Amino acid sequence: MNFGFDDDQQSLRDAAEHVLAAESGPAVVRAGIDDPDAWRPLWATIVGLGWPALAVPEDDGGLGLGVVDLVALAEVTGRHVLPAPFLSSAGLAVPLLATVDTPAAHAVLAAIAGGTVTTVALAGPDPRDGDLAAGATWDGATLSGTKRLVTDGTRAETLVVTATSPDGPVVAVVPATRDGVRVEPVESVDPNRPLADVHLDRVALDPAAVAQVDPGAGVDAARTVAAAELVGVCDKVLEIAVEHVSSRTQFGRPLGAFQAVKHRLADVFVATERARTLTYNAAMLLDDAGSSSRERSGAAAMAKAAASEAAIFAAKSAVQVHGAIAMTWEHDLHLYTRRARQGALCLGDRRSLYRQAGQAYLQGVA
Amino acid sequence: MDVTETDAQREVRERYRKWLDDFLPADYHDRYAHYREDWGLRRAHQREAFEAGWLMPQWEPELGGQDLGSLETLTIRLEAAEQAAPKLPNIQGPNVVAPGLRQHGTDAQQDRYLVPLLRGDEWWALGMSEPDAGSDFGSLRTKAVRRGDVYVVNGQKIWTTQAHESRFATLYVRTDPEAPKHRGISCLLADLDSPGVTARPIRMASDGSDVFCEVFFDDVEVPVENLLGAENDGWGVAMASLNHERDMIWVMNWVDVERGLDRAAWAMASIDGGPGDDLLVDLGRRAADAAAIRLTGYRAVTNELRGGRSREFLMLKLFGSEALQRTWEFAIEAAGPAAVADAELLFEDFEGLGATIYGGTSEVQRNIVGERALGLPKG
Repeated sequence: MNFGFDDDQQSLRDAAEHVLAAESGPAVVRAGIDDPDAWRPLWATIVGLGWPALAVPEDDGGLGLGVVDLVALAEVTGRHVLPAPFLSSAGLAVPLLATVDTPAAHAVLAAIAGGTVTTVALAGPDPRDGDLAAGATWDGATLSGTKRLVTDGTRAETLVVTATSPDGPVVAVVPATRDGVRVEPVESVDPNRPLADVHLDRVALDPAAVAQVDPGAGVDAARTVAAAELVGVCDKVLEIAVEHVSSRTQFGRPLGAFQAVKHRLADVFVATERARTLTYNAAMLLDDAGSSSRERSGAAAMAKAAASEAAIFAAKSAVQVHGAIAMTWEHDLHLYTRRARQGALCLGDRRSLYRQAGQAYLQGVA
Repeated sequence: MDVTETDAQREVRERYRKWLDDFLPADYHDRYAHYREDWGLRRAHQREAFEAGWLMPQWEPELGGQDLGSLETLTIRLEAAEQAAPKLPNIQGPNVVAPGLRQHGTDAQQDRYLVPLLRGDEWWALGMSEPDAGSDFGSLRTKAVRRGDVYVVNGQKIWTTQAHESRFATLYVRTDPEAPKHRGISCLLADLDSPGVTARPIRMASDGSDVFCEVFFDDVEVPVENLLGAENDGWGVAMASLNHERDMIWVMNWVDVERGLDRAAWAMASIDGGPGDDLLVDLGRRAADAAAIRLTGYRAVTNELRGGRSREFLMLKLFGSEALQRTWEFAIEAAGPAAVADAELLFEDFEGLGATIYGGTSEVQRNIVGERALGLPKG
């Protein structure tokens, strides 16, 4: 039992921190809100560093690492609200495709390692629906339906779509430019992470591109990586808040000396560490062949729920202790608040995930 | 990172489990409510745990241990909690006083006090709070004046758990009235059977609670050799003692959170048509608390084994005690309005109110987290 990163993981984090501090600073992130292409040079950099290839199997040209490694890196990308589509490609698509052992899936994995932006289309018409295949149907020759609120949906060259079929859930690989695919941009609170609804109108696919797979296992991993990113957001906003309340004085004292302020930030620390522990736990269970699928999905749901809750609480608390300046464009906090909100609602919001964790608990004691 | 138990963890856990199962009566788990109040069993459990090396697993065999590492020790503590092992009758003795004696005591003090304490033959009280010194411990006024070979103690302590049944107390006294308030405090190992000590139990709101006392010291003589740590370094002794106490408390909190969850799940199972989403959501939240307490404990221990200092230790008491209260509140919600007549459930909830008070209130814990974990300025 050990909750620490190993030397390789720590080196990866240190290097990522170094690169992103230089290339994904607040100015870059802020520019991305108005310029939809501002992320491209950064994406080229991180593809060059091999980040999208992290969890791609070695046979597909990747580094063959696991969820713990993705989590190690995602905490850092979260700290810097990375405006490039790392989460969708490396954190969502790769773990899901890794559960699909078909030539088509391996080809997409290899493409991701080479920098092809890829995302997962999961939610159906009602994003509350816990059915991970809802919204699209595969009839053996064509794929139809609507997938909503697809993360990085306007940027993705390849879509990994979950769907129902007469034989159970499937995972389909769909080029975004294929006939019948319409990507409808949806306004995102975090324009650095654009959203789209994807309409599929009898999209003809080679059956080899469609695999009979329950997406649950892949989604568990995706949720865990998304949770890690949110923990990174928590860390950063807490740092910003601590720095502010330690230097800003009112009534002749630093704000942080007032218990009303100190105690709120102490609570943010607790919420953050609660989420981090649960995220590491889920990541380790996902990498551990000996864990059960019930354990994994319960742990991933808890991690994502806790991280969603913590990120919103952390961001709002940071805004509160800053006072008026935090409501301005000029101040950086809104960049993190946007990511916190977007991340908290994608791949399952906290209520639906806590409910899932509650159900898993009851099944465990029954 | 590795979430699986190490071989060493599994080995000691299985060995401990076998020992505990052999010790406990066959119907222990079925009649836990009865055995919980069985003081004979609880005393015997402590004695045998001491002999078998399960009382202080990290210590040497002469002192109730078997030289286990910190990870294996935590494993045993959590296993004991999970198996509802009998509670130590005088829990602050082994868990707060004993580590303090080891850290600050002279060889002679350790030789005299440790074994009887660990066997449960001599009980200990923590003489900290006073009528005008609660969270503001540093403003205590009980004073000790050195006269030849003794300190002469005058003053009053309060909220002193089990003082009327305890032989000794770690007694915090002011030895230098001129020094700044944190620097004039000393810790004495006081014999509560000494002339001039009066310990009066205070009736508790709830019958099952451990009993508080008020303790009066009227020209009580304490030999100079009973000074624990250096004279006027009582603040340091107290802070170390509170660290041990926090470390003990979160494990106790975690057990109660687990019991509260079981209770809630049991209530939910009896709902016609199954529990609604509102209860399932809250159950998930509370189950996440339980998992996070236990795993953050492991996270903190394994971080320190890797040579780091772990800030997470500082939050466990705050988090555990508040999670405990949320869990019993939730168990009542899960039981519904009928809970109003469920004396046992309401007792659990009421007992839980103490958790955010003893061992340093949540308000003090938030100061600790804010100042030591986050580096915020002192108020």
